[in-house]
Amino acid sequence: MTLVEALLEAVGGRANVASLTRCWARLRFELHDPELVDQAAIDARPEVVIAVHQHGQFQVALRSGLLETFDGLTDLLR
Amino acid sequence: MTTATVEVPLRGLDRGQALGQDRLGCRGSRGREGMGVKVLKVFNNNVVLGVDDHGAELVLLGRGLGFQMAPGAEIDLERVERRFVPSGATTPERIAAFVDEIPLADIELTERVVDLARQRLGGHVTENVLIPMADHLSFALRRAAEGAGEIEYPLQWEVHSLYPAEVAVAREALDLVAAERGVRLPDVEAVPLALHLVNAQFGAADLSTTVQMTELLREVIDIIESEYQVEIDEGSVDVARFVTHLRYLFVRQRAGKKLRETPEELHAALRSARPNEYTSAGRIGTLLADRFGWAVTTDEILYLALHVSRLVDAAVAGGGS
Repeated sequence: MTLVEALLEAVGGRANVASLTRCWARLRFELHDPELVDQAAIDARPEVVIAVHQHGQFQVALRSGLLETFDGLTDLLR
Repeated sequence: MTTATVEVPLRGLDRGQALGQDRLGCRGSRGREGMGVKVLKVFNNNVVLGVDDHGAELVLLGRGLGFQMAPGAEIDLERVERRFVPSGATTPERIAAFVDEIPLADIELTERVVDLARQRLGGHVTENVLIPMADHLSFALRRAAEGAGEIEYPLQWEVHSLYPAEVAVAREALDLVAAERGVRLPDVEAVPLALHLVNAQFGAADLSTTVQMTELLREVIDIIESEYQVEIDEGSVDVARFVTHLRYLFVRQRAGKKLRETPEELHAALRSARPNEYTSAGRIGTLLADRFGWAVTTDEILYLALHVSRLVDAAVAGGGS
């Protein structure tokens, strides 16, 4: 599974994503139900530096390729 | 240099006492004599959105400030420990979510970074930078504490070569963090801090304009290199001047301001002396217009043409090709 697919599945699928934004370090998911996050699945991905719930968002920092991953996710969420 | 004095006694804080109170650049005073602030919205027991007598909105932080308070109630300013002014993308909701979760010590550390940056770079580094930068810095400290790996930031190389002054200040900020916290963040963390400082010139909280500008600077330099078959030294004074010019061009365009009109003779003179560079400048103008929907005036083109000429001359003189 690609990183984009794995991330989307681990946050509870596209139906659970209310919105997705990014900054310079993080993907920022706003989720309908934050409880649906499969933290273990996300932490298991080598590309992920850290993934945490904060400021009402589920934030994921990647080792690299943030912009590409964001664009990939945006396409799947369209 | 700070925008306001601290009048608020920092009592009741359980974090950050270790920092000298005289250094705490708390933003905003408790308000002038007789100035009242009323509750607009209670976020939680400690965080309230208020509105002052002038109708300005403020996010106020203080222990128990929101407890049993309803909209319209007068806020007890004695209990306010911190106040934040919402602006642009930094909405009251974002500030509220933020100040509730981020350790106060991290906010205070960021205030010192902002003060430092203002001393080094100038007054355009305002309070607008505080929340987004504290958000970033706090997260970086958290990552370091949890032993998370380094991040390879987008546009890393561009930020270093295009914004050396901001990168230098960002590195100083990393030293400050190390001195205050005993945590040496990786050098690569200077990149996002520098971007926040560059972004300060736009007075907007979100980085998208700065990112677009950075990508554009890169492209424009590539265009010149390929059109003239030269290699441009990114560290040169001419590039620094050109980058500064483009940064102000971005600020002008976003503010809808125009350069003063230059006499037609100047346009004619440059067009005839440097026709290729004048054409290149026109292409850059078209790129800006297409990408951002701007109306780029002929006066802007003239200045761009001058900069292109300087860059090409410097590259040729430097034996770049």
